[in-house]
Amino acid sequence: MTKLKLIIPLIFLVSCNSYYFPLLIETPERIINSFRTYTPGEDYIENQEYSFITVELGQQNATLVLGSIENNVFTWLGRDNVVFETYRGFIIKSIGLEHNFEIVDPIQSIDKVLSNGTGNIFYNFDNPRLFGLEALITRFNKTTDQVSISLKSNDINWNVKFNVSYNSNGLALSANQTLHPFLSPAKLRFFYKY
Amino acid sequence: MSRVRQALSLLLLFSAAVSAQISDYIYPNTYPSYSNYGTLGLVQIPNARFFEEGTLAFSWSHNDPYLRGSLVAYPFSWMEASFQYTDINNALYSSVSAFSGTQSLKDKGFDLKFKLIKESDLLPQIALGIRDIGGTSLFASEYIVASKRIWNADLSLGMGWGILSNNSFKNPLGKINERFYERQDRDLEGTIGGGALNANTFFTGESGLFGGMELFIPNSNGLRLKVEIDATNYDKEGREPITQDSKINFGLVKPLSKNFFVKLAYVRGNTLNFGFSYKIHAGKQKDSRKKLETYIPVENAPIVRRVTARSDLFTYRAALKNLDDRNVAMKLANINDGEFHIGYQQNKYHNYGIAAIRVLRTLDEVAPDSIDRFKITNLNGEMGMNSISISRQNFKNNLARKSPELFLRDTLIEGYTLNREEFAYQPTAVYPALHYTVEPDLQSQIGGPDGFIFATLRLAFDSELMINKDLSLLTRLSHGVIGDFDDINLASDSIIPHVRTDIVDYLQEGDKFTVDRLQFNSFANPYKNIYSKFSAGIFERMFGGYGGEFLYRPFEKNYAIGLEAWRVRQRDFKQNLEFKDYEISTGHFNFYYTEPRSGVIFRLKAGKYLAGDSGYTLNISRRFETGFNVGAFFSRTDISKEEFGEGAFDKGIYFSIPIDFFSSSYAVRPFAWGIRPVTRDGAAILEHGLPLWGVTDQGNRWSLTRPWKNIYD
Repeated sequence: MTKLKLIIPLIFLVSCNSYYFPLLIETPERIINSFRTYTPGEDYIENQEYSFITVELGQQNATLVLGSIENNVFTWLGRDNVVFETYRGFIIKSIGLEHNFEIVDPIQSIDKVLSNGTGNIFYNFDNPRLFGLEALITRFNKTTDQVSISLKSNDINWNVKFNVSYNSNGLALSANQTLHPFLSPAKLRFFYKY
Repeated sequence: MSRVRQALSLLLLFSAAVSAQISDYIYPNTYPSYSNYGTLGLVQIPNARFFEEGTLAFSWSHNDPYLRGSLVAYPFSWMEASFQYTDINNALYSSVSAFSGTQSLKDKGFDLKFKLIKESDLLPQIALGIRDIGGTSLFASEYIVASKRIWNADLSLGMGWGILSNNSFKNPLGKINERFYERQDRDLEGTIGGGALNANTFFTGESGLFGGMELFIPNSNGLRLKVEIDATNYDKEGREPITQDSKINFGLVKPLSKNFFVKLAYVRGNTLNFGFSYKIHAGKQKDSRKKLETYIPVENAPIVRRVTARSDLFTYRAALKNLDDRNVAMKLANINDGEFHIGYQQNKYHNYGIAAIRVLRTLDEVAPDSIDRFKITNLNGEMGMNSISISRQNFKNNLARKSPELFLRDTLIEGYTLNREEFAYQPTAVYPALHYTVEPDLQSQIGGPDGFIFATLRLAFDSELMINKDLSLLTRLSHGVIGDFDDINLASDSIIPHVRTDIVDYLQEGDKFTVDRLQFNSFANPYKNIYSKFSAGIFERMFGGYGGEFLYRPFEKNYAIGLEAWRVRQRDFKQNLEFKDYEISTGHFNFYYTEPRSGVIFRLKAGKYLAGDSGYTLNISRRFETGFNVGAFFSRTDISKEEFGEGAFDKGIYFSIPIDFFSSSYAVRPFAWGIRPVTRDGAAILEHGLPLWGVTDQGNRWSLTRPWKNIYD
């Protein structure tokens, strides 16, 4: 028996398959970009009027501009209503991400951790909401220009890492920090205009 | 204060409410997962789970002797539809070696699952499903299954018929009607015809119980253990019996991301298998790639406005230039009594609202303060599609708030019939104008007896030549670069005119340069809501001729009525400018209806088809806010099953996703994919370019405003 099994109707597909190609072109570009650290050029840095930070979060990156400083808490503003708050180089709150977090009593908590090298930090999350998650310090290392802290929340088996480096004035230069269980770690670089 | 907050946080941590929330972090990524069969389930058996509507997934598994790939769509939250291809390694494609050599058997299958009851605190979710509908029914089964999530376990229990009846007992449905006691033998040789429905066998014969659970492992990012009691009858499944040493199957599924899952399982007590699945929420805008093509404001806009305040001509010229810089062609303009009215055309944004907002922004940036109202009319060729009118102040206010709802409230949107006399400024168009693209074109042929897949890579030249404002030429030329279609030996066995089944001859003889389309078009909008198209030339790979169509599509209504008639002649296999002897008049009455809340579009064609058969085609699809479109169609015509051949009648499924769903740039074109179980000559429709239904998409309020909530990109 001759069974005609022409499965793909060519008429259906002739005008369609080529639409793959823009995807194929873009995909390697995305892969390459994902390995490349986002670094603003010197001209860009020179031309900025205000202090800013660059943020890499997974394969996305953004530039946030300094909006205010209050009680040593820096508020950085970005597009699409993304807001980061930092204190001594630690991100203490995010707004506008797919998953956001805040450190409960950030100034007191961070000061205590930095001075004692022990203790805990409490987190609030959204999406999904979770209040008061405790993370205990498991490792602490501090030098004049760098702080490395590891924490763990046993409740959800979540490991948190902070790495902040400072300039000679004590201002944060870069930070690498776990923000939320469902987000990739964030890499920050700080550029000051004062 | 801070101690109070900390204490409160601690208190919350230990409250019952927090326990419920913390489980989302202890058990993240608890999406359902795919069975070896390629639909949502446990290891082999199905469960009652569904993904969100608009989800599209691919599942692959190697479960010896089967290698199975499935494409699964969720047009509604209560429906799972899947198409699978199974390579059956323990059977040959056919017993005739001259026909199919040593190629293993390939089987296509189509499954449906419907949610009957949604899960609640007390009730489980219940679903009814049918596997391998129609054709040889190598895996045909029906089932009803309940699933209930209890803490970190998702429990499922079901009853199956057909292949899922191994733990068998007497069919309870037989008490309703005795015909349910007996199940018709499967059509293993395809004598009824692959693709034919076998609805009379549904829920008949012995029935069996199956069940199992999916146990989510805490703090493991979605890892889950699956254990089940298998109800598959391996003596009857597939072509040859398979040894089963145990009815208990178990496996592990690990999400590597929110959408990509890998799995490993041990089945039948003797076989290790593995697989993966990937899904996208093609119906959700938030899951599309973020666009980096943001609106670029007009440079030095205050200075531009000071200039345009001197003369309407300057306003017109500033708008013309700045819109052109932003990929919008301004065709007409008029300034009268504080209203700036333009006619424009764009081919960049499939979300027409985004285009409208960007056009209005540019007008707002260049227009002098004396302009207090904008009216933008969308044109397609010489046909008016729609008109959007808004006061300048309201536009500014809404832009600041980015509120699509307020924009809709403050905007007058109506259909529009082009009247050039309304416009004082009409930029001189230079004819002929040519727009073209050159791109690779991959063509494939899957599942034939000569080999599983054949493919060719061609280089295609697509163009649209505007000869004058009323006449255009749509062209597609291509040239084969590399391919292996020469290895296909299959010939048509059709007993009706070979209008489609000579495809192999077209593929092989057209392996070099071919004229795929050379179609002259003249579009018009002679009366309000009535559109016409007259075309002549080469319409498609297999047919050329002349004809036209009319479409009545009221802007405010959800229906449209069309009529099309063509006189066509079959093309030579080489696909140059020569024709064969076969010619025919074909035409259809077309009726379209869009159900506005769900976005379901019904398309009914009734008339005479290319092979001379008469009948109808019903096409039902659903369009989501992203432009993702998924649908199915079938045709019934006045030829017998024997005349139609394998498959009994024409049918198929398809989907399309705007390509910019995956891209950071905007693009109008979609990636489209469709499949028919079998290509036959019955119910074959002429595939002419630029059908009026698509061309007039913007001439309808629903199409225009449906994706409105995403207009402020």
